[in-house]
Amino acid sequence: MKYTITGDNLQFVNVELSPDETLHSVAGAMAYMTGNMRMEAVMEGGLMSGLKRSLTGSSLFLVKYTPQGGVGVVGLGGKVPGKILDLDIGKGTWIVQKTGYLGAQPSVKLDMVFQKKLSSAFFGGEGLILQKLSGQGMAFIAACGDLNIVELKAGEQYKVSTANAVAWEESVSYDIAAAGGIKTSLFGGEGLFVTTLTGPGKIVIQSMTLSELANALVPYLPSNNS
Amino acid sequence: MAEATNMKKAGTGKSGLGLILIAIAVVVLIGVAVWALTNPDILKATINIVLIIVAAIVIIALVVCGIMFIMAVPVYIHKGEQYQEGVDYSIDDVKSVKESTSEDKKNE
Repeated sequence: MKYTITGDNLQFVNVELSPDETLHSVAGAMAYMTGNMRMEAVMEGGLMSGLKRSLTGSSLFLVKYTPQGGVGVVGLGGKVPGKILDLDIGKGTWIVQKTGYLGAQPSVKLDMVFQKKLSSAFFGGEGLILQKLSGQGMAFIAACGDLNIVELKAGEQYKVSTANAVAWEESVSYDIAAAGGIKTSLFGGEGLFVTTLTGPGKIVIQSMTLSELANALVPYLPSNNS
Repeated sequence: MAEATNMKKAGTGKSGLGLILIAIAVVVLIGVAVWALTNPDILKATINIVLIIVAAIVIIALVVCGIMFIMAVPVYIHKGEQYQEGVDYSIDDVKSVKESTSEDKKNE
């Protein structure tokens, strides 16, 4: 499978598939495909897997793309202004924020995973349920804003604003810590907690969450009075 | 006008029939709902069920908010502000996600 990720802040992932290759994506992600490509909605893994996928913010049905008797191309796009990131799942299992999954090779397993600590689930900003990508092959994730990727060595720690952690390798420890003293908590703009990500492993951080984008746009939305 | 070459057509007759059946089912369901809602006894029972469901959702949301409120300060005290000392980090470790290709991934 060959692919390119093109564009700036509303990116495409363009995937070239041979006749013996298929690609899965979340429902509604297809932006274009060549005339020799067929798409089919499949409830991959059965009803229970589909329901679990729905709980992770993905779709009940996945869409399977298969070229017919020749090489074909399909282009996927994210649903919000942001970036698309390619992850080689064969090199390690990744935990991804809810709604992060965009598409993957069929050998990649998308599963539901719970936060290990109740305090992280309540105050970490990512919620109780996350997506887990395991198996072999390439997967594509999408998130709002620009993305930074950092490879942490063992014991290295990044403090991240709650909800700004997009994805992290399973080897990374995800927890929360106090943002600071009472003055910082009340007037620092981060609230009581920040998320801590401790290596070893790679982490992906976003510059802006979807809710921050929505809040920034609210004052500029047209009203009937103006 | 140029035409696309090597075209094949996969039949969608059965799928179309399925869509018609779904449309009929939706119309029937709307009809049943209208009939039920014009019947005072069924309307009253339906409103009661809806009110119970809404009340349950509100209570669950309030309980979750209450637990979070009660937990927040003890967790804040327990976790404390954490920071490392005597460790160096480099801005070179922070890589921006840009355009990429499958060839880039192979070369990593």
